[in-house]
Amino acid sequence: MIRHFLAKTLYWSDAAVKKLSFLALGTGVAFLLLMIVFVLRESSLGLGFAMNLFDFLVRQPWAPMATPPSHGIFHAWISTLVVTGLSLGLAIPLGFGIGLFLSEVAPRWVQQVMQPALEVLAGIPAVVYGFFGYVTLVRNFETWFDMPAGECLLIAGLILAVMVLPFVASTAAEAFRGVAQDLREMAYGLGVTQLYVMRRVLFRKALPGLFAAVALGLARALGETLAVLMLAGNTVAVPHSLLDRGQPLTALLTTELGETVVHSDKYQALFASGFILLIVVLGINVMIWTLKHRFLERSHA
Amino acid sequence: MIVPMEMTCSYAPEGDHEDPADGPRIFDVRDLSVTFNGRSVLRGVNAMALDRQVLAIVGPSGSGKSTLLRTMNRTLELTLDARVTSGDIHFKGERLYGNGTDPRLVRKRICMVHQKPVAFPMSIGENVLFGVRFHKNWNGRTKDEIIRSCLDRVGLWNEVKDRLSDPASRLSVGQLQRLCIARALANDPEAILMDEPCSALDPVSTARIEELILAMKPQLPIVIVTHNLAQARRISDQSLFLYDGQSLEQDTTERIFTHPKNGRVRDFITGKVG
Ligand SMILES: Nc1ncnc2c1ncn2[C@@H]1O[C@H](COP(=O)(O)OP(=O)(O)OP(=O)(O)O)[C@@H](O)[C@H]1O
Ligand SMILES: [Mg+2]
Repeated sequence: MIRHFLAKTLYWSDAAVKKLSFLALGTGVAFLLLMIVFVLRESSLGLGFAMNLFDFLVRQPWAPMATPPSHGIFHAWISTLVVTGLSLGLAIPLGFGIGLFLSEVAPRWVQQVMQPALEVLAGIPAVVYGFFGYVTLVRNFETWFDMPAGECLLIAGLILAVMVLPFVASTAAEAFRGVAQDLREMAYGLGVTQLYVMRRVLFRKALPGLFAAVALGLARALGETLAVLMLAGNTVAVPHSLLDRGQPLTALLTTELGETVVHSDKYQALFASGFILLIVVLGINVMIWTLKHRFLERSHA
Repeated sequence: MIVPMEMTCSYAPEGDHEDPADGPRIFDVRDLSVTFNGRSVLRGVNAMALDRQVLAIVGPSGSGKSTLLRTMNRTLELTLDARVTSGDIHFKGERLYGNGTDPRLVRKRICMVHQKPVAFPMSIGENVLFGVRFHKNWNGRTKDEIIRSCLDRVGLWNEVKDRLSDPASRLSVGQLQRLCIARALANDPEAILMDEPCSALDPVSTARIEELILAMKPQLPIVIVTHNLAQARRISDQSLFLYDGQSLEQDTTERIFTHPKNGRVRDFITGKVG
């Protein structure tokens, strides 16, 4: 009798856990879909959106005050691309290096100091990074490069790299640390160097975690608003070099949305940019996910 | 310190061999002490292994068997807290803990097989070549020849020859353990250390590993830690009994198991303590 009862309870709790986790998953997916639908509806992309996609993305300038007004976002997504690319191009190799160092090379006390330090760095608000970049780089760029105002994409990218770095580094360190100790010992036990073990065993084993680090850094870099708003110059013009001013998508949205008439062409264009940002983030995540599986297949991890 | 009679080692560390029929000493562990975080784990251990023989290290759990084995190819120092505080090991007359000794070269020449086999994240063939690709000890052989000969020696060739490029993680545990041995053999080692290599395996796989050990013995000295006294009797020529970080007795396996001199060894072998 008791045994029967026990079996029932166990089964019941298993089912509950399963249902709850499906519920959680469902809620998450539902929110995502709702967000896409909402942004899409406000932008009226596809239905009554004032421009065709090519004009919107590439040909037209952002000139809401002109007659007739035009709302192209070429300058913005180019700025986003440059700033994000630059910051990740720096933060990923550096972050992986720091992660590898922390997990494999650093003496214990360095690990014990660095790990919390990275968390503190990750928690510093973006404004502070913005000010930091302003004080250290913007002023100096004005004298070094003889610029009237020092804000530019290069500075935004550099500071963004500094902001993303702690996330990438600590996630990467976690990924390397997750590799089983006996695997390490076996590899070193064959008399090979640390570099060889890192290259042939650790990287492959840590790969899923490293992809997570990239995805995290990317999401953070693409979505970062305040610091790029402060440092990129916030100028509506297509940048031609890293020292030019620019206006990443997030900066465009923040700058313009407050003074926009609801459901106007400009309002729709802004939501359409938001939608594009969303799609890019989703698309890149899907890409990273596929790449990860491709790599895992190939590396036999 | 007053040491009770039975706590002293019956094996004399210096020169005089008890049995003149024994060959030269390959391993000569002299007065070796190890600490973990300052806590003493091996205390003045003496031991030796002879050429073309199997030395079994037996003793209760926690007595320091794995620690002793790991000092013998300098993998102990991969554990941050471990220190060799005194003594040395001579391998073919060379000091393993001498000043100029490169631990990596020691590990290349003396390979370890662990309790739990683990696949490296690569194909079966590349697992075998892991050390060779680093040490470049091709000696005129192609990679296929090395893979084949190493897998052949561990009796794995026929089982995996059609799937050498499959991930090694797909092998069964018993196959994986043999792959780990093949991986070690590819280094062209001069001795092999095994830490309870069969404790994760079923009787059939265990028997295969034992056969393999006996087959390797004519070419390589082997030191094996085992909890299985019957196994020690089956495969070893010499046995060393460790107790609480001390080497209580070493002798031929025959004598240790029939006429142990030390009371604790006798109790352990007859199953009175464990
Ligand atoms: N990494 C470590 N840090 C601290 N102490 C350790 C470590 N590894 C082993 N020890 C200690 O060293 C002593 C000897 O351990 P060892 O693993 O050599 O024993 P063993 O004889 O191999 O035991 P078993 O038969 O259970 O494998 C034990 O008291 C153990 O707690
Ligand atoms: Mg052990």
